[in-house]
Amino acid sequence: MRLAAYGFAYRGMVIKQVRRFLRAWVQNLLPSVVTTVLFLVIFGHLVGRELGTMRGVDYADFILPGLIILAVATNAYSNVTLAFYGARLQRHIEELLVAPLPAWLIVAGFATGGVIRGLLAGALVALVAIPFTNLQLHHLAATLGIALVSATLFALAGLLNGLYARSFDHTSVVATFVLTPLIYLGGLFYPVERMPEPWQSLAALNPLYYMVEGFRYGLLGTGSFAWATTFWVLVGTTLVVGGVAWALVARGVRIRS
Amino acid sequence: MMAPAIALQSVAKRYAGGRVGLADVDLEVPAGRFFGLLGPNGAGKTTLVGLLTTLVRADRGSIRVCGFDVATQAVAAKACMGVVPQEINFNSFEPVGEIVEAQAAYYGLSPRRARERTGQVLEQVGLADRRGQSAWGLSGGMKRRLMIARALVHRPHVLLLDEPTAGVDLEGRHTTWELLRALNADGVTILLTTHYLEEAEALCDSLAILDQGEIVARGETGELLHGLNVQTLVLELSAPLDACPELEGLAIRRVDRWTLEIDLPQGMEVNALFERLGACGVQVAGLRNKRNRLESLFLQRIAERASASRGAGT
Repeated sequence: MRLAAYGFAYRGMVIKQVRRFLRAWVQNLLPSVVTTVLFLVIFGHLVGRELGTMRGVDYADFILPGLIILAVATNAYSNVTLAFYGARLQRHIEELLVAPLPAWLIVAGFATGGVIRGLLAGALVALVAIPFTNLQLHHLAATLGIALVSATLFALAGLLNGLYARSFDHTSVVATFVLTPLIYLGGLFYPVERMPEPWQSLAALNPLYYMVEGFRYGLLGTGSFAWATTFWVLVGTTLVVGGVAWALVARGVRIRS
Repeated sequence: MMAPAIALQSVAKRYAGGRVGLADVDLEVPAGRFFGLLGPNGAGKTTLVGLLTTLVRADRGSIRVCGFDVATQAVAAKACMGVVPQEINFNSFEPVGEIVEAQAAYYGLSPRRARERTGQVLEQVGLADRRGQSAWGLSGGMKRRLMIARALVHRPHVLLLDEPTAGVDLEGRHTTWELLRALNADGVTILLTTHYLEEAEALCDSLAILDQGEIVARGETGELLHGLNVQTLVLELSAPLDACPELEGLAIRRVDRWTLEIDLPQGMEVNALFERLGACGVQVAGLRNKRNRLESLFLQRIAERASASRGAGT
């Protein structure tokens, strides 16, 4: 009985989150699409023609997996950050806190909203890339698995950001100054093996490098290491971040007095 | 024996910075009561509601709602409560119906049941025609009624209302009163905090007065009011009066030629007063309390406490 009630509550939370980002879909979904088109036109075609092929594929095809996973990660992250911070700011987080909901369900509700937006943005980016690239699907499980777990990881990380943010400035700091640079330096635009040292070794320390490479393997069949390794590392990291988010919400950090 | 709807034992809360929220409060509200919680700003009323809803964490003490401990059985305790907070706390960009339906879902109602109950409670609070409208466009009073609808959607056994009629116009306030009376008559236990003392006197069958985190008076409303030392009556006279009459044991003030103010001591009946005035040739055409009786009680208890604090400090 309680399980059914939790199911209805979870459904209610997810619907609320999805309606929230769809109400402002132009602001929430289109920027990733526009940015990707610009990247593919300018770097993929105009500059990419001069660069030739990378790992045996056109440059536009090479950068596409990174652009898709960038859209997935940043959309999942910012969705939950803004949703959670907004709920704290306007105090409608109290609607959830006074209801008979365990902390893990609140975390799951917010994270699922982020995952849906992340995957939707990734799908839109892939769709608009079709006229500009030879979009392939080399390994369905790797592609979907890495996209899903990346979206979940970033959604949960976004919740931590939303929990600790004290102003709207704080909601964009991590995404702008940490995540985006890490993805750009994680082999999005170039194969890391072509980089000189110490950059190549430093890239190996960048967790987002594995995400980009794993997703690239899923689409193109080319990557530096086994996709399954990437997948399980991401799953492990997701569980840790999810555990931290659950513990903080359960303790009421920044949401209860 | 039936468990009290609300029970606090030795509950204390001190906020960061040292401000006292509640200081070792014991309180019991039996099921079915309409309980009023009064007190000046910062007395601890909202803290108490926050502790019941788990939005505020107690430093020590035990809090039970419907027999469930809010610390260790939070899910069960919260399932039987409905909460109307003091501040507007819904997403104003959402439509009215979606706000209530989502809350129904959080309490485990199926989508079909949630839609049905949303329609019923919006009807109850007079917002049925606003169901599809964004909450942004509602007036202040409508927003308060929306929060009441949201709190009722899962049919709670205990309803906590933190100043639910603040800023609501007179008509809206009376409509809310009627709704709350009907809910209480149906068996819902209500805890109401309010600044409107006439509201508490009109609605609550028992009440407590909080001051600086402590309960300074509690009991049945009638009993507490009966315990007033003195109440000030305003008498409108049948004929003008040039001089203030003097009656032994009574403080009488002449406000103008047609009006007297008299402090009626506890134990003296109004009929006896009229007889003594009549004997002096003063005929009374009308009578009213200068202050709401609960206001008198409230001020008296706060003043007694302040005086006791001063005494303890010297």
